[in-house]
Amino acid sequence: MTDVTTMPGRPAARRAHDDDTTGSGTRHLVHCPPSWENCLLDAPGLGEEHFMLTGELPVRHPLFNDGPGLFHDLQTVTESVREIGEFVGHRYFGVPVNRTGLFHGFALTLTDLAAWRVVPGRRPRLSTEIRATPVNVVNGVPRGLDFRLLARVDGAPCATGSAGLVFLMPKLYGNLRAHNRRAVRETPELDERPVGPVHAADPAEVGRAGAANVVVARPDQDSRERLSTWVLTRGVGPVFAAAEHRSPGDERLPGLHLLESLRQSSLLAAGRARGLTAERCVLASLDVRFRGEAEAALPLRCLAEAGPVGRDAHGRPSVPVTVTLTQCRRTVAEARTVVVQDF
Amino acid sequence: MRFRILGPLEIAGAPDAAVGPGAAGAPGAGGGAPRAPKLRAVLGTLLVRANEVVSVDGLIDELWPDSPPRTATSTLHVYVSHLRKLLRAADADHGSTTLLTRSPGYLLAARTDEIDATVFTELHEQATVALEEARYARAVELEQRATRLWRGPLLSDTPHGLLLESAATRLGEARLAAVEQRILAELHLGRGAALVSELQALTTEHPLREEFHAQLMLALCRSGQQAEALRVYAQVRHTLVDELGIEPGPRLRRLHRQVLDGDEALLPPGRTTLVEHTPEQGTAAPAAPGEPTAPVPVSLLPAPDPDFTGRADQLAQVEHLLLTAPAGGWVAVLGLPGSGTSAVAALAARRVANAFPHGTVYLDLRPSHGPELGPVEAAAALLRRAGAAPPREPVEELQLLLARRRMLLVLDHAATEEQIRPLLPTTPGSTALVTGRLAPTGPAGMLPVVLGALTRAEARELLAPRTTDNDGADGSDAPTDPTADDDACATDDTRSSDDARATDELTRLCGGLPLALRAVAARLAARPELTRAALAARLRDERSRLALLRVGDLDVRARLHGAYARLDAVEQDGFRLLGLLPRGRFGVGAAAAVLGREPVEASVLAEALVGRHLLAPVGADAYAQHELLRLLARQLLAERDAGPAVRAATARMCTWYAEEAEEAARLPGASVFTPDGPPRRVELVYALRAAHEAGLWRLTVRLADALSTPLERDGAWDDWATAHGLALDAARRAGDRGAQARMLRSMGELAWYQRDLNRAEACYRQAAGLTDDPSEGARILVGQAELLLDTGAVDEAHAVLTPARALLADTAPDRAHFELHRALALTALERGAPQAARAAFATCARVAATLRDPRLESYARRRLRGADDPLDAVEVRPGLWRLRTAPGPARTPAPDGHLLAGAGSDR
Repeated sequence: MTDVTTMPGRPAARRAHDDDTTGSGTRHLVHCPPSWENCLLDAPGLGEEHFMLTGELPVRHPLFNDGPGLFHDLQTVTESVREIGEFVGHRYFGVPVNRTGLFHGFALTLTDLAAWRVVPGRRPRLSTEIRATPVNVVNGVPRGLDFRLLARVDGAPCATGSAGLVFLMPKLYGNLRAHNRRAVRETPELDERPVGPVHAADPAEVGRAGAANVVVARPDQDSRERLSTWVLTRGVGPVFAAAEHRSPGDERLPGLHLLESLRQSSLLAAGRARGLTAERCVLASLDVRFRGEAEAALPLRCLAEAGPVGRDAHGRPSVPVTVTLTQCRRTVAEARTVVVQDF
Repeated sequence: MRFRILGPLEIAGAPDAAVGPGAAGAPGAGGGAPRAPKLRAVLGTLLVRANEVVSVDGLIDELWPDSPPRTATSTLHVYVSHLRKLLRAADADHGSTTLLTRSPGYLLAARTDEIDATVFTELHEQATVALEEARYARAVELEQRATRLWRGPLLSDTPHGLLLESAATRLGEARLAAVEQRILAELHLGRGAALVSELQALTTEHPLREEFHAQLMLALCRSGQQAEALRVYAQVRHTLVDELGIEPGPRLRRLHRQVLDGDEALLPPGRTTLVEHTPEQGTAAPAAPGEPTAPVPVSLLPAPDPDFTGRADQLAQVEHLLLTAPAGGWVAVLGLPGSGTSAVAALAARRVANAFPHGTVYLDLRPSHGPELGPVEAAAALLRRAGAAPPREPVEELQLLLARRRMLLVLDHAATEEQIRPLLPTTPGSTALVTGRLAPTGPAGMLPVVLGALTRAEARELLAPRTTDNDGADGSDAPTDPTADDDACATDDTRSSDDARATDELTRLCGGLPLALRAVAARLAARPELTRAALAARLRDERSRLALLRVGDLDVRARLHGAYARLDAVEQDGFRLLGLLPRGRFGVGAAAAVLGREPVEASVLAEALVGRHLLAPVGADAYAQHELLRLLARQLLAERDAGPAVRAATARMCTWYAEEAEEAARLPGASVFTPDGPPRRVELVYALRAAHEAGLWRLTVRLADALSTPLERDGAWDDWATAHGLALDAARRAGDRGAQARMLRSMGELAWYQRDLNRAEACYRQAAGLTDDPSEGARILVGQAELLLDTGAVDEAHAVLTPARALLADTAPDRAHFELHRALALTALERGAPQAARAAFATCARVAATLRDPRLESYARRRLRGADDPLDAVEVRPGLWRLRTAPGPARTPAPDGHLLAGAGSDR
């Protein structure tokens, strides 16, 4: 699972455009209530609540804008939702602030590739329509939220998706973390480590330009045409930790790091196994289920299997890829992605 | 004791239990029957001749037909002794008295109900009587019970001598006769298709049995398979000629001739063609082929529609009402023109036909070639179809006939109550099913069923492709890689999902009207290259939708216009003007406004249109015009009404909506729409568009002003952009600078919500140059200050707010005061002065309370509580959060240069 940001305090009076260098910039989250009664009473919502998240697509983001620069990065949407998920739960659904939000799943499908093309000199606005529904409500407090997403770039609908967030009580979350760590420590026989030195993949093969943004190693190909690689956890750019406001002692691998590794391994598999050119590729679809948290201090293995080359609705070559992240032979995340190569 | 001989021999105790399948205490396989074949033969012979003496010689001949042994008699005695023991064991009470010695042999005493063969014979005889008395349903039931007793050939596990052999032949023949009679009775009940497969098996098993072939021919005819019926005749004739050298009997030959002639006597009443294919929908008994025919009503029900779909609930309701209608009660199927009332009535009539043994008589009161029928003409026509000669007083004679019989009258396209009242049955037993232009609150005895729009599922079924999609069927395009099938499936899934969405949109655009959906289906079928999405896109244009919904004879506009044409002049005027109202429901107040009448008069007119099914009641004082009727009304309005009159009606309507919205704006917190409550936002936007289209500039602006709060409150950005964009245009055309400033400021706020900062800035700048209103000027400055705050220019923002404060110095508290103090509070927060922020938010709360706006007041109080919260997530306006992403602690590259924790690696 991947945890959400908690928006800790920070110095004010910073130029909005500066935000671009580290995060997604200043955004507006608008609550569009089905009825104002709840808001008048400041009572938590019991049913679906509707939000709009708007902001400009980043143009100087250290990760999302690092690469060939043909397309805006779809991860802007997933990152936005990751960032506001817990906030929405606490503010609008009455979830106590001491409960940690963990995303257990994300799905995002690009419905209009053209809207994501980068137009030089133009900074489009991204609006994400978010419908949040409480699930597992106990004593009026939801244990989780389901999100349905519709993203628009400059008003044009261009992606749909969903996400699932679960809120864990502090003790439960603490136990979960302790159990994870103990399980890893006490099962050294399950430990898996690379044989020999690990080299970072070529940035061009994973759709990036900067070496610091490469988070997967050069892969091996097994007899079943599966790509086996490792998620790089050291020496990567600061953006991954920055996105999550991690403290130096935090041992968890950030959510953005995991998602980017899924993206990069998908492109790598589609390129190596099916011949797609990463420079012209985008992740047209991502459906990931998180099974547990990844410890940053341990090797994280990544298996990617590319399916047959097909065509999307517009005739573009597309390759489905199945990606599995494992740590000490325990599954951390399972994802199905679709890589599409533009003409 | 019970004996089963229709199949393997079985004996069981439980003498009180009846013999029959499934009876309590039924024996298992073999039951208590003797195992030795000779014993079974003795017992079987005695059972076949139960209650009769069977001589010792006869039994010996049965056991040893060729050469009885020398000890045959003594052996027989031993067998009988064994049987007696066995019978005693099976039934301690009566077993000893069952097998008796009676000279010159033995007698097995058994009641009729103890032996299945005698039960069978008795049931078959009763069925024969029932058939002769034309009690066909009873005959079917009895024969079914009789044939169910058979588990196989008589005593199938027992060696047969002459006696048993002849009994087997006799009972086997009786069984076939029972099957024949049961099928004959079912054919009398109008069944056909359901019997075909059984009859085909029977004719194969008994190729020389002409009766089964005749029945098969008849069943095939009733299934619309005349050619197959003729083939059956040719086959049986060929068999008879080949095998026996004879021609088929006169009955088969006559039937053959009837099939060739298309003789309707072969069909159950109510079928007018030989393409009928719904056996369960048969009506009263037809004359069996070759039998003399009694006068049977000619129903002339319209042929069943093979494409009919949906309406299951309504059909069930109609059927239930027809079957339970009290004396004098009759069922009316009503609805909007094109909603399929006639089809539903015809189908329901077929389904309940068996409940009306004297038949179903259909009459179209508005024949396509001729004038509407009056009551007398209609009664005469009904009598003719019922097989009675029309007398001088057909109405009275019809009532007398209905009193004597149990009939169902189907009266289609009734125009008025007066037209049908003399025709309606008044006595128990008979009833009527009526369709037409009758009000749901119609004459006494009416049991109305009103057809509305098709459900989404029903519409999807109606629009489902009738042919399979051949895409990819071409071998050259077929994927060779088996895994590629998954990809193809995914594409198909996507396509079907898109198709489903397009189908739903088509349904919405047609208002779920079956006739319109049929036109859509016909258009799609005629143009296979036309996708549903493309057709939906064409139908979205309201001006051409009705024209597109005309395909051959399916002409939606003509049908709807037909209903309109039958209105009187006042109703027609009202119908057209109501088309100006927004789609969906409207209240009497809106109707009165657009009609230019008093609410009471408007209500009367609306109810009259409801009676004609041109308006639907959707509440106590609320109505809705079907979408396609609304389009027709607007077309007619454009064609027939003078521009000034339409403009005046539009002005009345828009004024009414503006007044209602302004009234609602006095309660800014109210958001729940009720039928009697304020008009919905979509209706106001519609009215605003209408006002703009009619060139009613001031009304457009007035509506836009009334909409400001709902648009902001609901986050309805699309409507906001549309409404205030049109209002800005209207203000410019009207030369109203103040209104232009308001609209520009509002559009600047919308751009701010959407974080289109450049557009917001441009709007505010333009607005500032147009207004001289202090409040408006202050709000524009607040907007500009917010833009500055967003960029972190706190001091500049504060400087901008200073003149705003001056502008409002001597004005009464209004929304501008609230906005000013909100902006001051936000500025104070950014400057790190929470105390000042709290003071400003407190002022906001006071102003909101003065304005009686709970939404604003609630916001101010929330902000008071959260004045010390971090600034990364700040609710800067009610429901609008400004989120700033903070950079976390930077993670530096590992000093050892390792890329992977816990492993040696190189980048």
